[in-house]
Formats: sequence, structure tokens, C-alpha cells
Amino acid sequence: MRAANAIDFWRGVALLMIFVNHIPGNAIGQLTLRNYAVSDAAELFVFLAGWSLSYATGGPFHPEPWLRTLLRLLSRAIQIYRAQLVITMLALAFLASVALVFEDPLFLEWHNAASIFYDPVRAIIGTVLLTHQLGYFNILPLYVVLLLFAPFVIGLARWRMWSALAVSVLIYAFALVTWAIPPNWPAEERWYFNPLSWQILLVLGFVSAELSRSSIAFNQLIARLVPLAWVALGVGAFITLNQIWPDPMRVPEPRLFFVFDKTYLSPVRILGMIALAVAFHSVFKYVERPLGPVTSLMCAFGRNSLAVFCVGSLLSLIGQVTRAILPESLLLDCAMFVCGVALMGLTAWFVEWRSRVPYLAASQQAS
Amino acid sequence: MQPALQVATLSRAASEFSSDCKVSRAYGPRAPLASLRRALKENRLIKVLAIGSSSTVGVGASSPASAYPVRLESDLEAFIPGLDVRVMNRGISGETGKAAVERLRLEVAENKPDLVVWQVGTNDALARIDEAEFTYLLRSTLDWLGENRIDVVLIDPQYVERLAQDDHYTGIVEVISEVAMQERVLVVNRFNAMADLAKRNGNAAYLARDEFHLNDLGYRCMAEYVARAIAAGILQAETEATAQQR
Repeated sequence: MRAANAIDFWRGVALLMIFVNHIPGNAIGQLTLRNYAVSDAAELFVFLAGWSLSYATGGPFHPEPWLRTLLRLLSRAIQIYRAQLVITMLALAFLASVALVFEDPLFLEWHNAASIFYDPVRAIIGTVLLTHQLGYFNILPLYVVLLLFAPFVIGLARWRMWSALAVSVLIYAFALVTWAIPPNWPAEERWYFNPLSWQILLVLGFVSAELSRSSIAFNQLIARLVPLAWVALGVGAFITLNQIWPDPMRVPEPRLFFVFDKTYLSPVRILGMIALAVAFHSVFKYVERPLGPVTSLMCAFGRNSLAVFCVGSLLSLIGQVTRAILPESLLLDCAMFVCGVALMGLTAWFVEWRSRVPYLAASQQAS
Repeated sequence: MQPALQVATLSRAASEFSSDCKVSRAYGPRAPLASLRRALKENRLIKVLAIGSSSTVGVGASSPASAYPVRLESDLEAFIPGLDVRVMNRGISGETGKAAVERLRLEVAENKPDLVVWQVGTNDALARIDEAEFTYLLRSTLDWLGENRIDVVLIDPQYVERLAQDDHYTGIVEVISEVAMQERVLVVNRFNAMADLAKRNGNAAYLARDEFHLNDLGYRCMAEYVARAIAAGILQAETEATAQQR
């Protein structure tokens, strides 16, 4: 088990916010990042995923052989793909049960589930191809694609840092100018998170981590930028709280550069994420001790992010349905939040306990 | 020389329902579709953006051709001779509130439709989004579409037996109808129409074999209501324009 660290901590915080945000309308949702910043927990999650890739693949001074990186990330992608299929199946079974119990067809249409129930021949194929995604179950498909793309960027970055950035920016700009995006099928939709745009956050996360571990100048620059980053966050909070969005009819072409779009990750959302990373980069060491058990819990979430994310996604869905069935109340929202956090904590504990079991068994035999 | 609109044809298109789908009040209130009238007079292709969730995508229909946007296109061209329509189907899955509206605005800016058919409210009703918040969102989006001279037809949430007595669900249906009245925007009263059809025929008539989902007849009626509402809107715009000239 890793010691508490900033990356796990913030990843845990992002997971918690994603859980809350995915129960729309609930009172706790007023407290999450998206209400106060132009970027939200999804950006944070992807940026940190990129950051941790630097650690997972040996770092700037002792990079592992590229082939190993390729196989490592391929195997991680397979693991995440498997997780996506499992949680999709569980979510569908849950919705089907609710529809039967309450004799209410609306639950079969919940967030795109309808194609599975009414057009299974096509939708099953779409599910396996990741072109049929339930609403709010669209982060893992993005992550799978990003992990398949990552080995190539990492290879480039470790050859020449600028080349990885250049490739990433080019793909990003191409997507925003041409509206290129993977389609969904059978529904005539598009991916909720466009991997062609979102890859840039993964690359930025990775490059920042490599530089922060190898370049004193980079770290000095970041430290000097902190006040500016706080000003940027202040402006972002003002814009978000007052809902001053640019009117897509009035912005110049190419439009996606000037609006605040999430699917294509408009530049303002990247700036928001960079400001956040700079402003908060050294905050962890000040909050680690005062927050005590909260720190431990968030780090446990972060260390076991896949399992916690999967359980959190299913809990969000249960939360959505609960809100649809029961009368609205603040007490209900708080109760759901507490239960959710407890179950996500239990998940993290269970995964770590399970991974310790073989070791414990072996040591018992030895003694 | 602009061709005159065939008022009699429009009036027939607006009111002569097929016997299967006939209900007492399929759409309302009286509201003009001025941009469509202009497009029709100019004899040009009319772009319709259909935005909504799975009933827009056409789930439950026996074939993609039976889904409502496809039917809407053929219905419109059949009801109003001389009309050339292209319906663009853009489902916005499951999302509520601000995010969905942001995407609607972007789609509209990019595609510059003459008309947006917006199936709205079901997800907000189910997520129990605050009524005031929903009202504000709906009103500000309608205002924005109005400023940009884009016509709108709203489709309210579908009828489900379990929710017929649910105050929040019916509240959202009422909000849509009130805002539409104030903003002078057409609404297809899907909730009431489906309830009427259910009373008349029992569920089997308009729901798929699982007794859950809209079947082809359900979609046919939905498309027909929208098409007839559009005819009524063009007619209203014509009436108002003629009145102004006098």
C-alpha cells in the first residue's frame, strides 16, 4: 500500500465529485467543482491519469523499455474495458428490475438504455464496440482509448518532449476545427467525451509530471505562476457563478475554440484545469494532517480508483433512481451521500484487503 | 413574385387527424412559425433539428424508418405540398439542465435550422430538478432561439401511468405549457395525447409488445402531432402577416 500522497488524494477527491455530480439535482451537487470553475472533476481525473502514467512507466530518469510500457498500458486498457462491460451489464439489469417492480417503462429509457432493450441486436454490438454508452457511463470508454494511445505519446515524449506536445496539440486542433469525433451506434449520437480532444489533458498531465520530476526551472516557473493561477481561478469562478457563457451564435469560427464545450474540451476548460493544477500543486502538504481521516479515505479512493469509480457509477445510478421514486428531501440527499461514501470506502478497503490475502497466507505458512 | 401560401391546404393539414391518432387537444397554443412561413414562401429547403432523448432516436419502432423524425419528414412533405424538409436527428441522452441546453445551443449554431423540435422535460422531471430552475432554463433557451429567429415546437414528457399522479412530474408538464403560453411557442401535448389514447384503446394500442414502449403507432401519432402543429404554426404566421398588411 502506497503512503498518502497528493496524486491519490486529488484523484480520490475527483472520484467523490464524479459520484455526486452523477446524481443530478441532488443538494450536495451544489458543492462540487463544476459550480465554481470552468472545468470539472472529469478534467481533473484525466489530467491526474496522465500524471500517474509518468510514475507507472519509470519516470524521466529510469524509463522502462518502451515495449514494456506498451504491454503494461494494453493490459490496463483491457482491464478497464472489462470493467466497462461489467458495470454496463449491472446497470442494465438494475434498470430492468426497477422497470419491472414499478411497472414503469421510463426506466428502460434511462440514459440511452433503451436501445439495449428495444434494439438488442444492434445495441449489443454497439456495447462491445463501446459505441453504445449509457449516459454517465462514458468516462471508461474514453480512458480505454486514451490508454491505447498513451504508449505512443510516452515514446515520443521520452525521445523529445516537444514532439509529444506537438502531436497532441495537432490532433486536438484538428478535432476542434473539423468537429471530428467517434460516432455512437446504433443511436445517432456521438461520444460524450471526444478522445481526440481529451487526449491533450492526458498528455499535459504526463508531460507536467515528467518535467516536475526532472526540471528545476519548471518547478520554479510553476511556483511563480501560483498567484496568477489563483487570479485565473477567481475569474473562472466569477464566470461560472454568473453563468456568463459565450453565445455560440456570436463567436467566430472555428466555434469550438470559443465556447465552453465539454465534449470537445474547449480551450477555456484546459486553461481552467491548468490553473487548478498550478494553484493546488502544493496544497496537499498543508491539508494532509488537518484533514486526518478524510485524507486517508481520499487516498484510499485514489489508490483503488478503478474499483471505486465502478462502484461509484453504480451507486450514482441507484441514487438517480431513488431520487426519481422517493419524494425530494435534503435528508435523502445527505443520506445517499453518506451511504455512497461509506460503500466506496468499503470497496477500497476490500480491494486492498484482497490483495493482501495471498501475502498473509504465504507468511503464515512460512512461520 | 412570391407564391401565395395555400391557406386551405395548411388548414386541412393542421386539423384533419387520422382516426387512429385523433385526440382532443394534440397541440397548442396558437403561435406563429414565422421563419418556416418565410422559408416556404422562398421555396427553399427547410432544416429541422429534432432534439430529444430515446423517443427521438426512435427506440421500439419496428425499423429505423418508423422512428418519429423520419416519419415527421415524410408527414410534413405529404401534408404540405411543395414543402422540402430535411430533419436532422440529434438525441441528447439523459442529461438534464445546463449541459443539455449548452449542447442544444451549439448544435443550433452549427446547423442553423429553421425549426427546432425539442422534446424536453422528462429527464428533469425524473431527476426532480427544481421547477424554478427548469422554468428559467426553458425560458432563457426559448428567448435565445427567438432572438436568433429560429422557430420552436416543444414536445412535453410522455405519459406513464405510474407518474400520472406524481406532482413533480405533472408539474414539469404544466411548467412547459405555461412557459409556452407566455412565450407564444407551440407545444405538442404528448402527455395528454398519450393519456387520451391509453384511455380509449388500452395500453396495447400504442405501446410495443412489452406494453412498455411506444410502438409504430405511437411514433406515427407523435410524428403526426408534430407535423400538424407545424402546419398550424405556419398558418398562424400567415394569418398574422396578412393582418399586419391590412
